[in-house]
Amino acid sequence: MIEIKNLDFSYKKTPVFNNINLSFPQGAIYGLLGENGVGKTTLLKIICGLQRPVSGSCTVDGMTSHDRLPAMLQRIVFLPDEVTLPDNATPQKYVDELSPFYPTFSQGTFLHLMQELEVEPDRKFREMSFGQQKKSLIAASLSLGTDYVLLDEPTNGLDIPSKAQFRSILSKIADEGKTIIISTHQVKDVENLIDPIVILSHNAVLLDASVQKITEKLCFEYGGEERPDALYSELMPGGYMNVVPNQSGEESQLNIEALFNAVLRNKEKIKELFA
Amino acid sequence: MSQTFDIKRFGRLVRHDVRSCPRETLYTGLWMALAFAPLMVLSQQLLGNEYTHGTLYRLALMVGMVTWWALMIPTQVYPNVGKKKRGIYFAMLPATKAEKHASIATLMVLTVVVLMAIGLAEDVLLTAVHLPGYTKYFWQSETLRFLDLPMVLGTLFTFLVALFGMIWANTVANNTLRGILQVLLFLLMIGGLVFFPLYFDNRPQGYWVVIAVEAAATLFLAWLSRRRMDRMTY
Repeated sequence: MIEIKNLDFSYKKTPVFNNINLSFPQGAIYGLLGENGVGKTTLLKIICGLQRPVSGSCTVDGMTSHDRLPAMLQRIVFLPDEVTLPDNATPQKYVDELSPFYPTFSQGTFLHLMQELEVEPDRKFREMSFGQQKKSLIAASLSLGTDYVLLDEPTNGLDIPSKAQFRSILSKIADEGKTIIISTHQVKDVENLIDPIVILSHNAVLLDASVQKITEKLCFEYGGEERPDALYSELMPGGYMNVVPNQSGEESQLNIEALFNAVLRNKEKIKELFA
Repeated sequence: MSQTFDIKRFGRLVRHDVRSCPRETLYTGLWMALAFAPLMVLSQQLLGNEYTHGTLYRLALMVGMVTWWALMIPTQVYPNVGKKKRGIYFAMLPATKAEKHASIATLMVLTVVVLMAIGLAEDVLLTAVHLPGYTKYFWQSETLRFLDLPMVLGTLFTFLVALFGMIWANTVANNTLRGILQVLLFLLMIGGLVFFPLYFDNRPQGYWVVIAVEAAATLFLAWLSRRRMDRMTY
């Protein structure tokens, strides 16, 4: 389990997090959402020990993350948005170099994922498009078999079929009890995949709730008139979509973009609703 | 497995670092090391000078090789430590910070030792070609006198001072200061490598003190660069 307690973090004099608390129990795909610059990538880096909190703690299975102990690093893999790859290396060579450090690595899984994502394991990275490089790295990261997988904007550069394959692969991995944290702006790409959802704002966590809890508290109405009491309204083909507090307890289909906008525009009200 | 220092994991890390060094770098380095000496000899002969088996030749060989490696190693090893993007891969490798630092140090020492061995082998081979019967009195030859323990240690420490200094300098956040430090350290290394053999050739008094100072500087910079690596964020 990943636990963040009373964590403060700042870049020199620019505060990023102020006394935040979060926990990521195992076996779910967490969606980490937020506007540009709120610290989504920074939070991922703190979790895997690449950044050191000013105060408070971040632990992975009880180990302080910024100590970067081998036992912790063996359980966690982080795939940043941009990676500098050695030009002459191939995905196979890349995993050959990494795999001795991960007892849970599976060559079979790697080849299976590469095949599913339609990338050749022995082709040089420099001969690949950005999307193919990204797919190779996703396959390599997931084949390491770590308990925690941290992905920063994983769908950037992926074509439409690859996004579907990516979702299907992640669903299978989550079913195996792994914890996946995805930081993304492309919420449509991970809709129906991420649950729970964490929305960050400047210095704070605005929302940390499961999809079930969100739809218990909020109702997403489609195709009607614009409601004055709506937390967020958006004109769509066929009428307005309104996000309103769920007073009747009826079930509705979550729209992550609408949820995100509703949360950002009604910070205090959302806090009250989810308290 | 120990979470402080595990010898098996350290071995894996050294193997990983050697394997992840691009082959082109290794080949070019070896080519430079192997070709520099014959080119020097050839140019001397073209100028009408007789082949001299002596200090100048070995010095040129050593400076040439070390210069090359000093140029190559920062581009391959240091960025993994100091640069934000490339450093993530390095920082996330499941090994302790002590093992990672020790692996870099081991590679540096091995590099210097291998290059010195190549220099020695070339010197012996080329001299044997020029001086028939040389191999018979090899063990009493000037080559081995020149590359004795103080000279080997002196060369090694000069190299390590500059290299550990460069690891440290590479983690300095200010770009201008980092650049200045890197150039100064590089010049220091080249200067040290030119000065050291000349200075030591006549074995002046107190040369062990110089070696001891260099060893102390190496240890200090190794500690400093290790501390920097520990505190590095990405």
